Amino acid sequence: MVAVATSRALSTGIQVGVTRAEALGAAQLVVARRLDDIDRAVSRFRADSDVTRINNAGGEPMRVSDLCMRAVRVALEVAAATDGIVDPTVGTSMEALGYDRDFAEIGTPGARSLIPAAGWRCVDVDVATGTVRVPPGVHLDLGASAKALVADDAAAETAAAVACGVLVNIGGDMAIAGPPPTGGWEVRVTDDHAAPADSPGQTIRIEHGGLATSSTTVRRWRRGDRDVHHIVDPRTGEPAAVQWRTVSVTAPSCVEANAATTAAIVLGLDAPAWLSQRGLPARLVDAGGAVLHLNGWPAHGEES
Amino acid sequence: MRRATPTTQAQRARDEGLTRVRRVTWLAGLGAAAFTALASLVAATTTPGHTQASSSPPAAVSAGGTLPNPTQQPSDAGLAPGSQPNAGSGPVIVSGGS
Repeated sequence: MVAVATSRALSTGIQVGVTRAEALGAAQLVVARRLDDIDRAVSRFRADSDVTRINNAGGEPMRVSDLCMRAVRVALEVAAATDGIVDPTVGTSMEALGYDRDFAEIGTPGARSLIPAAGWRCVDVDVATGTVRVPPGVHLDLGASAKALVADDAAAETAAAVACGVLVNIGGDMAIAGPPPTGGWEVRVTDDHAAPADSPGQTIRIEHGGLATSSTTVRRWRRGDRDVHHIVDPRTGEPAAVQWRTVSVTAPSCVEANAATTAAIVLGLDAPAWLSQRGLPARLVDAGGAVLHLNGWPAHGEES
Repeated sequence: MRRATPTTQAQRARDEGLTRVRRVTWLAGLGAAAFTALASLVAATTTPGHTQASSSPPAAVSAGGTLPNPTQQPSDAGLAPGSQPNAGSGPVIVSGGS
């Protein structure tokens, strides 16, 4: 029987699902350990994290944990695969927008000059020495890809540990491992991962791989005299223009799905062609609420 | 004293030969069974079966490409075929922005 537990970590909602209810407690323990590990490795808001040490190293190589090294490399792979549309050096841009502390503590920052991302190619990774270096003033933000990475890792590890099907959902981005429930995992796709089940959206079923949703309707704050959101166009340092308010994608892994949803938000009008070139099933909701399904995403079940 | 005729000697030799063949056949069968059992034990110990029946690709990202290449066919993205909602069948899992 399917059982799902809900909790909070990494400043977002967490869901752990299992196909054998007795395994839920053990599954939660495995996932909690993974979440703790990734927070210690990549949080921008912890003084003791590897990423904070990289960002504050003044251009010197910084030795980091294996997990941080992996998260950086995955972020760079995502950047390469998206031609820099999803870029880990947006940390500086995010800080200029006022997102320089835990989201709950942002308040109303004043207007500062926007800072485009320095670009992922300026990040030096030396696997042999286990070090990462960024130029002075360049700050990494691995947030999105790192959460997706931990969803993939945690789902695989947990499924092996508890010997049943597992779903790990981190703030709406989820990975599935092991045998799914009959007919697949039932998931409500909507604007906000914290929304109730009857919110406008669509219910789909997924059997394996990853599903991610990015939205400009959440994690918003006031900056000077305007509202801003957290998905930054690295080319400008500005929040991406809202052609699509919400994009969901399924892919073989959560990392791939998350990279595609973030890229689609930033690409705007070019997103459908970009997604279709890659054959990724996607659901895009435009600023007015009109829904577009692409590449095999199921058309039925939309509820407004 | 009755001497064994050549015919009787030949019959005895034949009988002894048949007895040897039966013994060898029996021992060979026993050996084959023992070998099969041993081979099964070794196989079970060194390559145990696993219970994960998922056909999904590895979750980890492999080096050399995180996203499918452009112009690729639709990916094996995990959507259930004919993905009809299974109303009220389980706990609510939500995918949305965060």
